[in-house]
Amino acid sequence: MTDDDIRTSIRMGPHPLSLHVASATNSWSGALASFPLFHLGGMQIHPALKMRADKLRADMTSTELDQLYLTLIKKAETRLSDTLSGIRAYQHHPYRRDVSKAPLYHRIGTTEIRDYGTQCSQDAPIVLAVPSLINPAYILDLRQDHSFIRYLSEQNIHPYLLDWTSPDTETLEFDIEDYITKHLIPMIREIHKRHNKKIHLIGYCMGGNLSVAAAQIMQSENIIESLTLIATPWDFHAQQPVHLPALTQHFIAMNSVDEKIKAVPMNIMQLFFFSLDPTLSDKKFRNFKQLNPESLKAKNFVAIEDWANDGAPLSPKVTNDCLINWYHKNQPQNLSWKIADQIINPARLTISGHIITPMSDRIVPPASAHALQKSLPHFNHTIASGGHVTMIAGEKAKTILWHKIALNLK
Amino acid sequence: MTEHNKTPPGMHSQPKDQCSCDIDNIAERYLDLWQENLQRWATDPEALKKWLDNIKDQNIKP
Repeated sequence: MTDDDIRTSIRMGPHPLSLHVASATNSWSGALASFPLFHLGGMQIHPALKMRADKLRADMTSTELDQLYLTLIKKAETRLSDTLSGIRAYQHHPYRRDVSKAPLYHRIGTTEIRDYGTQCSQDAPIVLAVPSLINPAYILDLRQDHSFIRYLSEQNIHPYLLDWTSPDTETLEFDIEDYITKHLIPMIREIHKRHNKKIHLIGYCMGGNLSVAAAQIMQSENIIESLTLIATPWDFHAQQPVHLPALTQHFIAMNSVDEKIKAVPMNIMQLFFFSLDPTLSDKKFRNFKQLNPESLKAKNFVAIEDWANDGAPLSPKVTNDCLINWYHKNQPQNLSWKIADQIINPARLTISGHIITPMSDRIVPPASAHALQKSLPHFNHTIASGGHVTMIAGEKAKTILWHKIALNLK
Repeated sequence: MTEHNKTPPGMHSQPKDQCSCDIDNIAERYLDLWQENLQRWATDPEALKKWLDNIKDQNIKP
C-alpha cells in the first residue's frame, strides 16, 4: 500500500478535525484549571446542577486536596486520551458504505430521482422523499440492511428518493426558491405523470420546508395525496441558542466583504452544528472508543458519522436563505417567506398529512417543529424519541419511526 | 454533528448525589459535573440569559 493509498483509506474527519481535538483538549485542561475556583465556590454552576455541586463540595471536605488534584490530572488525561483514541478508531474503522444503487428515474440539472420501488405492486402508494440540501440524501438510505427508503419498499410503498447532488455552475447560482420551482415541483409532476396517481410527499429536515412550499404552490393541481414532515424546523427563533444571532451576524459581515464566494464549504455548516453543543463530540468519541468495532452499533455510528461529515458545498444564495432569511429573519414563522410570489403559510394546506416532531433534537429544537404542527392541526402527529438523525437512521429507527410513517401512508 | 451515542460509559453509573468520599469517585464526579455544566450553559439559552442579565444588573464586568 502506498502512502497515498493509506491517506485515502483513512478518514480525515470529524470535520473540522482541529476544532474537535482542540475543544476536547481545552475542555479537560479547563476542568483542571477551574478546580480551585470550583472548590472555593466561585464557579458559575447551572441552576439545575447547584445541589449536585454543593454535595460534591461537601464530600470534598474530608479528602486530601493534593491527592485529589493528582487524581483529577490522571483522570482528565485519560478522558482526553480516550476521546482522541475514539476519533482515531473512527478514522481507521473498516466500514465503507456499500449499497446497491437504485435505478435513476429522472434528472433535472443536478437533481436526481432514484426509483426504489421497482419490485412494488401497481397499486402501491407512490412516495417521493425529499432530503435536506445540507448533507447528502443517503441518510434516508444509510445501509443496505438499514435503510428507511428500502423499508418503505418492503412494505409495498413505492418510494422515490430525490438527491440534490453537488451543485454545478448553474445550481451554484440557485437560491432555495430556484430549487423548489425549477427542480422539486417539476420532479413531482414527472412522477405523477408516470403513475397517474397522487403522490405522497415526505420531507426530512429542511426538505420538509421545501415540501411545504411545493405542496402549497401545487395545491390547485391536486396531485399531492399527503405530506409527511420529519423534524422540520419552522420557528427558527424558538429555543434558539444564544450564540446564534452572533453567528448569523458574522455571516452577514462575511457575505458583504467577499461577494466572490462561489460555494460555501460544508465546514461552515459543521461549525454551526458543533456550536450547538460543544461537549457532544467528546462524549460521542469517548463512547465510541468503548465499542467493539465489529458490533452493529459501531458500524451504525460510523455510517452516520460519515454522512454527517459528508456533503457538497452549498450555493451562497442557499446559505443566505438558511442563515439570514430563516435563522436571522425567521421568515417562515413570520409568514414572510415567499416562494413563486406566494407567502408560504402551512395553515393554507388542505391535504392530509403526518408531522413528526422530535423529543430531543439540538439541530431542530422541538419548539421549532411544534410551531409547524400548530399550523397543521389536521395532520397526524407523532413525537419521536431520539435525536435529529437517530430518529430516522439510528439503530432503533425502524421501531421508533419507520413503521409509523409506513402505517400513515397506507 | 450528530447526537448518537452521546453518553460515555460510566458517566451515570451511579446516582449523581451519592455520598462517597473516595477520591476516585469524587474526581469522576467533578469531571462529569464540569462537562455537564458546560453542556447546560451551552444549550439552555434562558438560563444563560438570566445569568448575563444578572451580571449586567450588578454592573459586573464578565
